[in-house]
Amino acid sequence: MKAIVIATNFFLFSLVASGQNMVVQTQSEWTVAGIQHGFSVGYETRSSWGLGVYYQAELEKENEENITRDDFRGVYLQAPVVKADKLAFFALLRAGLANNNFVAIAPGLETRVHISRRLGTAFGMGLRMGCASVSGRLFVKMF
Amino acid sequence: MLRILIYALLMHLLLTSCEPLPEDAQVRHFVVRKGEHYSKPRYVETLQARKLVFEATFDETAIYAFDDYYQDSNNKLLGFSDCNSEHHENSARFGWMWLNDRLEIHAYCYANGVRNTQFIGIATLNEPGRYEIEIKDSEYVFRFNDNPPVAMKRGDTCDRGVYYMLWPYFGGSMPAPHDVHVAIRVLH
Repeated sequence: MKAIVIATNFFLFSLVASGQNMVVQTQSEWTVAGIQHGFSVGYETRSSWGLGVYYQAELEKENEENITRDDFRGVYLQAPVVKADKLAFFALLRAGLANNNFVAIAPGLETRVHISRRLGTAFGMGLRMGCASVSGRLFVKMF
Repeated sequence: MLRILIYALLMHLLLTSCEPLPEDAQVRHFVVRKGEHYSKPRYVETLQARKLVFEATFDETAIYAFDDYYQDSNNKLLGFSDCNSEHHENSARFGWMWLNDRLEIHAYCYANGVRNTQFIGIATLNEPGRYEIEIKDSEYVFRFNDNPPVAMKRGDTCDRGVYYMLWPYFGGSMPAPHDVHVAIRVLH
């Protein structure tokens, strides 16, 4: 246990010391099959490259046979395209499993607006299920 | 700070207040050119749910005449290859053929490399038909308009992996005798 605490502290302090961040985001995405809500947790370098995991799902919906809920989970890679003081554009690649069984890759572009040093909002457009999707996020840089 | 909030609000309105796309904008128009098998445009997509639901509309270009030997071979409409399989190993698609002066719709599957087909119903030219393939543990269930559902055996394949989409294809062995058009709107 002591080792875990020390390792965690070492990791968090190293993030702070080197200007890197843990980023937590809540997100909603409008896809051709419905709206999905979720969250992501990721690691972001000083140059704004990011890597993390995400989970998003539809609210339950009832069809004529049963109750279903589409979801999408996996890992994301974020690459900075253009950065300004409060504004940044990113290329985003998400890869994972849709509905637990189906491998899916979703490329996209994102505009991020910093509201404060740690808090911000982002708007994205991507490709899901062969169609355009639109997403909105709120993010917090934790450490 | 205020400027940023206004910008954020404008971006939000810009990106979320758009009207939904009209239905026509979601329709994909495929054409198989005379002498060819594959349709254009070509897409690379994967299935992402246990159901594939779409509407398809054929026009008069679906009418053709071959020698009897070739007339009853299935042309492919839309479907998918099953989990991590090549499509001649495990797949499920709708097939179609112009036979006896009508447009027949068939279930068309491969299960462990064995091909199975079964007649489902008749499509009407220039009217959209609703098509559905549902993946179950050991079978595919095909639904077409109000016709009785058809269950077809599914091969011994995995559950988790890539299910790549299979787009319209003319043949059989015979290529398209003239340009063949079909409009497809994927619903889910």
